[in-house]
Amino acid sequence: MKRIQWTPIVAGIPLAIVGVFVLFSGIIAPDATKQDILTGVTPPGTPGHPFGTDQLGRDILQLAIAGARSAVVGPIVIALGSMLIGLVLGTLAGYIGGGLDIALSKYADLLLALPTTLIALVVAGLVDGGYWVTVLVLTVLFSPTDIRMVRGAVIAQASRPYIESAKVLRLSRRRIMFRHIVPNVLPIALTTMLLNIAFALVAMSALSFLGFGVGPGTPDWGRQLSDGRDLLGQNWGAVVVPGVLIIVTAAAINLMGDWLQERFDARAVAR
Amino acid sequence: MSAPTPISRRLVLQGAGAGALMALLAACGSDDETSTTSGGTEGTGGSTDTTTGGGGASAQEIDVLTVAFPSSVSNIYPGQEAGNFNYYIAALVGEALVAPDSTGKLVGALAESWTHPDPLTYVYTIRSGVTFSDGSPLTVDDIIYSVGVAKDETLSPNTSYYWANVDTAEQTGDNEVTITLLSPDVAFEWGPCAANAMWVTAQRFVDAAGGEIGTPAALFTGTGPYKVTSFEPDKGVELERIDTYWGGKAPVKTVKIEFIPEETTRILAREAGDIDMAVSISLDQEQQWADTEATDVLFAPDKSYVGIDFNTAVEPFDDIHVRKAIALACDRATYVEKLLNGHGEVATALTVPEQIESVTGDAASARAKLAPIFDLPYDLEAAKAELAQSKVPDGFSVKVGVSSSAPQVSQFFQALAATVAEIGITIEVEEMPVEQWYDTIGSPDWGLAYMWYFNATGDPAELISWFLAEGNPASYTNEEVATLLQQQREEADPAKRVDLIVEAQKVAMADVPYVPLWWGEAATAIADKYTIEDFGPYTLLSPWTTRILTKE
Amino acid sequence: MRVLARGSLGRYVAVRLAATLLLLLALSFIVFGLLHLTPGDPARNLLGPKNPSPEALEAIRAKYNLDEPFLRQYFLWLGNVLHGDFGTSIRSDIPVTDLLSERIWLTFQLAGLSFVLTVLVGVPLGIAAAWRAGSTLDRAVSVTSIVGVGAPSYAVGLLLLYVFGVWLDIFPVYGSGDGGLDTWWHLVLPAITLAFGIGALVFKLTRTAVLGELQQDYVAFAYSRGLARRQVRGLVLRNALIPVATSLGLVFGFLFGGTILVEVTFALAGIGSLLASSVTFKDIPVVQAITLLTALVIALTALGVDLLYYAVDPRVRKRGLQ
Repeated sequence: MKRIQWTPIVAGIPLAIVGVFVLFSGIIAPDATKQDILTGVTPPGTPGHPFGTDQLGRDILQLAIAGARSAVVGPIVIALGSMLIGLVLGTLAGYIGGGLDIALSKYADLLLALPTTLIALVVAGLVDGGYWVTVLVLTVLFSPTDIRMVRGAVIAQASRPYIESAKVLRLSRRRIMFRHIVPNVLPIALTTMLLNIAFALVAMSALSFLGFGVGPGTPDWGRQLSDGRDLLGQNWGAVVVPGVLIIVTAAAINLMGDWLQERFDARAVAR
Repeated sequence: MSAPTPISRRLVLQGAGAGALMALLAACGSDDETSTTSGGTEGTGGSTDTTTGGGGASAQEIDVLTVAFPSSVSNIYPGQEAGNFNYYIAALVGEALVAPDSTGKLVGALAESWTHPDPLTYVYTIRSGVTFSDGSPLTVDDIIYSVGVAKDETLSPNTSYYWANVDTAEQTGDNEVTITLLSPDVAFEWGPCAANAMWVTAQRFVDAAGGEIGTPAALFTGTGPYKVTSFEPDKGVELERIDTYWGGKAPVKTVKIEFIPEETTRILAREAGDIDMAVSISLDQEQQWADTEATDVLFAPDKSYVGIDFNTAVEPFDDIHVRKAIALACDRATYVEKLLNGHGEVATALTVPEQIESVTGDAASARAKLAPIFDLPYDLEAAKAELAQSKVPDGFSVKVGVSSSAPQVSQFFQALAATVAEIGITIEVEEMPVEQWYDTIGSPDWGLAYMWYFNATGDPAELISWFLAEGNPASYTNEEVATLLQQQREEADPAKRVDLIVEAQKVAMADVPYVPLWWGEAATAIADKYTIEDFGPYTLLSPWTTRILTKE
Repeated sequence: MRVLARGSLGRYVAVRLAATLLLLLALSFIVFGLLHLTPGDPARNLLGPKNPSPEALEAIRAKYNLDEPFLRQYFLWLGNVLHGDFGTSIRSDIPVTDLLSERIWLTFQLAGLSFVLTVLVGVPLGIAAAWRAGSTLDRAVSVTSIVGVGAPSYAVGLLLLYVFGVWLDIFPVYGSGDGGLDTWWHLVLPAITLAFGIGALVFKLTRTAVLGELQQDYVAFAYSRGLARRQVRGLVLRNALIPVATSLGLVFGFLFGGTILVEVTFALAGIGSLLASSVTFKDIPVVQAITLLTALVIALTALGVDLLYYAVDPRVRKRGLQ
């Protein structure tokens, strides 16, 4: 009898809820940005506002529901984009080596060395700030880590016997790289990518603090967390709701990622 | 978050706030305290607020007072870096000829007295028996040298413009200095003042430091009640009392100023008893401060002005109907109550009441005097009617830039945006670091902007000498106003001068180039075993540690 | 397995160092350019929201060469740097080298302590969890690490501050103390905060890497050949630790450049907080110096990691250093 797999359930429920938020926020939380300044800040448990309101009278819960989209979509794009770049460039660097490797490694080093604040600031200042600009910037900034990681994994694979045999069979380089090596690198790439979503989520919320990403008043967990800190004494919900959402979502993604990765490996793990 | 102050250079890094786990802290924080009064009297008017808290208090010896500042300074000479906190530190170390008392009236400091025989001349009698922190006596030469330092654009870039109108400073007697101006300007009286633009030192000190002032290596040697024993930018400043100070021995022997950027860390430090006092705490957190063990919160008006600027050279703000429409859409009373938690006052002028209290007599009369300058009510219907008469009757779209260290202003604009959306105006709020915000002042790219201004002096014409004069951020010109400004510059009678200043603003405000929003308050947290004598808007700009009393 | 002659190892290092210098040069130019493109004027920033007089602005601009054309400014700066003069901070009028020297050591200590904690906790736990995959230990630590990755570092920092600094009153609440041992004591909480999130990452990567190795053919092969567990473990770890070593190399660089939020929370005067405020202020000499310094540290750690590869991985040695 198959044991019930708890992990995907425990991880999947929050993710499903967040997914619902992302897709249906217009219906579930229609009044997210409605202000009511005369009411001002109220604590959780106020009638009509289970988690209270902020200084401008906006409902915390509705804001958080509406904020799921901005909080989640960007990080997914960042992690995906970054890993794609990493897989392509990292495999090329790791397998082909030589001048290409040096060039790509130097490029990765250069990117890693640039201070994140500076880049975010400049780009935000030049291109009028904004959410997608931040996403693009973070994708570029995350990529060197993935490139290096993939490169390392590919180097480790490259001298394996099965690659030797592929070479003996005179398979084309492209074929070896992308049809043989990459699939073996995928498990660790997948774990990293999922971790990246979590990191990107936290990173985007951190950038919201510094004023980049979405403008003030736009529903977004990072923004809400930042705005909510000043209200802590009057409404702890303003901080707890977006904060818990960030942590739980990041944790669920990680949990799901780990479980999926274990399933990818057909071989038993027990010892 | 750290206290917002646009003059402070430090970027307010809001990064270190609390996450979900902070709820635990909030709950624990309000548990076990002995009750503490939440704040002293409200600071609406009157600069002589003192804290409640029973019994008498006296100047007992305090060995060490640890004070937390929300941001760091990189130079302790305000001529080089003119943020609020630079002034607070300099106030303990340096002095000048005159100083404000707690009501904002100028009294003698290093000058025993002074006269103003004709519109261009000021004669100061220098106090004798004053010594620098190293024990050497103050001479008239030192005063003259210090005027030179204050005038010098490389040594004092931030404050030299106050001295642009000064022609000469000469010794005219054993203990006498005469300063002559190029053109009459009564506002000059506030120039030689440590709360504004002059700090007396001696040439040999500056020379010994290789021509530098206020840096961690050079420090600043002045005549004040303390001397700086250590200055580490981003860490703190330590000061030792000078027992031979001419004004008497201060109660606090050692002052340790610590730079702690994160508000919550400051609260925790106070909770742990690691700090005794914290200046410029954020109004949003004042309840948390009050809930902290053994802590009082004192409020006082801080002579700050917050208001909308229109750049009248930029469409559609060249149309008075548009400006009036927006002005009528501002529910200023609600903003003060809700966004500032009541710690502030609806502003009716560019001058703050504390700048004319010493002339009109008291807080109430000061406000009465300023009330007629700007009195447009909150009336959305009237706003709609005004817009209908304008050249954009269907509304328009505009962006406004707000500094990230001014969250209340950001909230104000968001609230305003929601209100004016109903009459067809779309306001988009863009946040930016404070340094970028400086660029938006008077810029043609930002038709709608705001100003958050901290008045340094008690001179009622301080802000209008910028805002109503040539080259002001609103691109506003008016012959009548210009004449009135000129007249007040020359008017020696304080009461008449105030009338002229009020008149000038009345005329200007009829055209609505600015919309005054509120006059602000600042909050200071202090261990409840201490209190500050006569705590008011000028306290921190004077030797404030001399006023720390211990409660019985 | 061909062992490279000593000479070519030396040559390799020399080539890498030269490449690093070129990297720094390119970086300095890019950063300079980016700073110029940012809106804002350092002269204006010094004067704040008062009404700036043209003379005062002029005086500041002249002092810091801000009125020269872009390329000229860059070469002026570069020329000075080659003489060891990194200029003076516009914001605080202090020579940049003085400004940095004390602060960089503090950040170094912080990053170093975090690094040690991360490695000492993350790696062994990762190995143990992989070795006993599926056990309670594995599950427990994995779940903790998952939360660790998601929790914002400032929240962790403040929580630690409250529990250990205020409530239990063991550690100091802020600041960097009086030097020497006292400073290390002050850095414990900040280091733990910083290490929390990264440690979770290191743990996961180690665990995945070791697990991946355990599933390889050669492991079963080795057991069937009668190798003892200990010897197999040695083999497995040697292979697994290569990707882990790459990550660790990056981890230190990340820690070194990422201390800013922790520095602000705990009121530490390190280079992270200095960089952030210098960027928005457009304090060009300071930003240039810090950027180059960070880049140098990262490049040197990358070099170190690659040399480690060489020492540890026979496959790399076979391929030869390139």
